[in-house]
Amino acid sequence: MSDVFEDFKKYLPRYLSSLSSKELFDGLKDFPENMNKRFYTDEISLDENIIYQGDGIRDLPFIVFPSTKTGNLKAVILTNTCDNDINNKRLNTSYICYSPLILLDSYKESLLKNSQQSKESVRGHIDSIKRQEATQFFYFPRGGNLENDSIIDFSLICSCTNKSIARESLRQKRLFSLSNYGFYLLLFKMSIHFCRMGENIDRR
Amino acid sequence: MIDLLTTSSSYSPLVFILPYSLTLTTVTCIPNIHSINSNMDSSLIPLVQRYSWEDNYTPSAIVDYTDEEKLTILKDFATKLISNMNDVPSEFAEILSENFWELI
Repeated sequence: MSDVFEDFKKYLPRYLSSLSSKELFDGLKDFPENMNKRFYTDEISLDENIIYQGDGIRDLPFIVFPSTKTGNLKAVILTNTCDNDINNKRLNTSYICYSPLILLDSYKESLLKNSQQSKESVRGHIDSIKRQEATQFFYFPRGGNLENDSIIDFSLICSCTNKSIARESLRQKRLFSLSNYGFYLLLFKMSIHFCRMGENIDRR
Repeated sequence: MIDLLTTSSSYSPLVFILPYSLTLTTVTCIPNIHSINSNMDSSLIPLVQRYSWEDNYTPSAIVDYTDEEKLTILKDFATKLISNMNDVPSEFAEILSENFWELI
């Protein structure tokens, strides 16, 4: 057991200061009763020219095939930070993946209007989303420049070329950047959504 | 239909560790860090890494959790999250898909 623990310690986030580490683990300890502004960080401490994984950014182009309708939406960056950095030299064109922010209240109203399920069932579903229990959704509480509670659906993803997002206007377009706690939770749920192994299929 | 959550316990160790791996990768490949290192005398790099002030300095007012406490917190967090996860009901997912442009 002690060997397992020694191995585990390698994965602890050593790059964090004591204060940041304490805040991260405070956040994880209080989960899920703390879906609030602790999700977001003060942008002053980050480089305003870098697009960070988990950032909320407005005016990103979006399309959902087979419909050809397009629009510019608020979305959350899913590509990791170093892949977003335009200063990284690459042999290939780089793209940024993002998922649009969906208004939670509008989603709830749409369910109440269109679903055959009871109101209690819909409300239970919304409460479950707010506790981050829905596998394919990630809940973003109101905070930063995000005015309304929102969600993203990990299965609704679009991409654009990295260079097409103007860095000069990034400061105005950025809605929020995640805190260490919000970022950890995002990676955790992304890992479960995209990388879980329990598919119940023997691929022999 | 395949129920992807029925064997959740079988993947919990992986997801337990994976986010940290990803986080470490993300941070260490930010180009600013590379550029700092590339401009330095390479013989200094081990010294700088070994004596990073963040590794050796703990403000007296901030007492971080011990590694054992962190392990317990992470285990409890992962258990709480994974054991309560559920798929979005298909009817709800369909409504979201059909009304997507009105919900943004």
